[in-house]
Amino acid sequence: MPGILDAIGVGMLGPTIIAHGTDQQKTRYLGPMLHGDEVWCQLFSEPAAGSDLAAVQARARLQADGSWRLSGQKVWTTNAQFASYGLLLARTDSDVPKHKGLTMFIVPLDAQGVTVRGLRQISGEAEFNEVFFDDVAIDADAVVGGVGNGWGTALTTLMFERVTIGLGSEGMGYNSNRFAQAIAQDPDARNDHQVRHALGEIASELLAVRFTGYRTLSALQKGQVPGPESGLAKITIVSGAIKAGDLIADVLGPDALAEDGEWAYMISFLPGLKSAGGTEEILRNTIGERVLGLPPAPRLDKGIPFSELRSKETAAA
Amino acid sequence: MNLSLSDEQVFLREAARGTLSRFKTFEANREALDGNSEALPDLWPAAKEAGWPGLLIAEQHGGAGLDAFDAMLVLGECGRVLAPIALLGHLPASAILNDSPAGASLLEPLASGERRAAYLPVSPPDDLSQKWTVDPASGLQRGDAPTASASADGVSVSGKLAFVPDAPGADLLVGVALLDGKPVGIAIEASASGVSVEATTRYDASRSLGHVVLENAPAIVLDASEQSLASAWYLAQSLLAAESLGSVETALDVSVEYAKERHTFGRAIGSYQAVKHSLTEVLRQLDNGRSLLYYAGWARGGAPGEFPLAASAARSVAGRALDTASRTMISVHGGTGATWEHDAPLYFRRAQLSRRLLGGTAGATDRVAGELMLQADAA
Repeated sequence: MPGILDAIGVGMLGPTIIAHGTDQQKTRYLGPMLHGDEVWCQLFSEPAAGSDLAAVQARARLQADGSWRLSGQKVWTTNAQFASYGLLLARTDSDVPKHKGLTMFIVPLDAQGVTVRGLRQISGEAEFNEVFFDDVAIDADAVVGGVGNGWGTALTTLMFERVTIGLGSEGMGYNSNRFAQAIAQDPDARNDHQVRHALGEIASELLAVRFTGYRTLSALQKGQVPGPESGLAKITIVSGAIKAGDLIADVLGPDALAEDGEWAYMISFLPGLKSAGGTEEILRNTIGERVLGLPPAPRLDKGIPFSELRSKETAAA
Repeated sequence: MNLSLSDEQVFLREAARGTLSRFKTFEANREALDGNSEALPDLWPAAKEAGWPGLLIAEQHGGAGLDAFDAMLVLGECGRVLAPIALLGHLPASAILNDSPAGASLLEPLASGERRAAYLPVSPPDDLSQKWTVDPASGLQRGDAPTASASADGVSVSGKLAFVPDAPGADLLVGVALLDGKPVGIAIEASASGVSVEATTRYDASRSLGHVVLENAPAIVLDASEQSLASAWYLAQSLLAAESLGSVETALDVSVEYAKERHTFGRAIGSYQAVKHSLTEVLRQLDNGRSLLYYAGWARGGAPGEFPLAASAARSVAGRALDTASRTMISVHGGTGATWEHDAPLYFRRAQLSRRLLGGTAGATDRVAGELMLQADAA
């Protein structure tokens, strides 16, 4: 089912550049991104910084001429193997608390010192990658949103990411009609009360998020900023699709798991998707705190310079 | 399709909230559970004053000429405070009559609320069966729709309907009967011969229910279309869904406030992930329900072919949301949440009964699957 070629670029990185980029960056990058001439990737997560994104260690060091040198590693980078550019969150100051010492950069993936290595997933496909940066040269004008403002810029990206996943699910094939079609083919399944009940529960929730998507679009058109509650739609979609995959494979039997089939692919993809764009646990925390106003759990790393945190962890181990 | 509230709708909802705030519904529900049914406030005068009985009746007949979504907003407000009010029965009945030129003379007093109607709920055929059916007194086997027979003296209707919302005290009973096997709309004076309404309550004293027995009761045949008769069932589903989600809203609000105040091991219980996640889960189901209320409220007029699916999905999600919200409310409040004096048990009782009325939440969930089967066949 055709969707947007570069949903990551168009869905969240482009909007980040629109919100935080310079006019020069917008002029240079948005057109080719929209036309699909240049594909983008999101260079945020690292092996030691997934949920705790502010703990990234990829380091960009300022040079005398205002340019930067970047070293470090990113992981789970979807489409890095196709990308011309990536939006990268790096540490630019280790002597301040972790959130304050970050800067966002536009990094060309064909630069000297960049290595992309595919990571195979449950399905056997390698849709995402680890990306290594070995003293990569980055221009001064590659900074997006200002030096030291990487965290604020990243939050914009994450917000759009949740909206994109929430709105894009139908295009990814997670919709009630498609799942119902699979059940409808089987004359016993469509009359079976248990199957109907399971399908009804799944489908009613997926229908709900279809309309949540319309409500979100409507709010965006009115200039409203989508809030953290868009993460709720992601939770519903992933859990709904997981249950649908289970139901369909129960009905169809092992043939549903044939490697070249649509259901095997979906079934393989969903466990990872549960963590992509924010794990369900983190999303529920964020929504509980920002939308319901519940107090956060205590954290042990608040206000401490980043350079001291690493030694604390090593000492504790 | 409207995906946010118009100014008029915001006003309608705020006005409803204000009207209902005058009544101590929670205390009254508790007293009624203890056997004092006089304790329940009579909300019909307030409903009349607010114009709610006429919400779905055309302006030319004295009503407000509004649509399903507007009525659902009012029901949501009623649900927020578990209000004992007869709109769930009255509004679908008024909708059938509003679609029937033959029933036009009956509309004016219903629009003003001077007379009250109750819908005799009959569910339309689905993908598995051609039968119109009614809720049984017990068990899984649904009952047959009432039957109508015509003679020189007119039309009379016989049948039994169990657990009819708001039947007790209604002046007019409006629903569906099978005349020569075909569904027709019928209106029956509650005071007519052959009509018996046995009032009953079950577990939730704020829900007026009646067992209706019709034995050759004289009836007016209405010329509402079959689609209109089916639409009344789905309107009832939508209204109950909206009412349930209103209850979810206040259950969640109260639970969140408590989770911020109550401390254990030195911090608020809401700061613990398990509690936080259980409350977020209520919000997730509430938000899903809200989206489906928009769908159902729009579909009745805007996409009638989708109304069965939209209304059934709304009912399914809203019913489950209230189950989750009421149980979570009890849990979050610890032992206190399970005491008589607390409001949480009132939400729990409302959830327990509501899920078994009007075909049940399970019936609506099955209907979602059935509608999708029909859509798949048509694709």
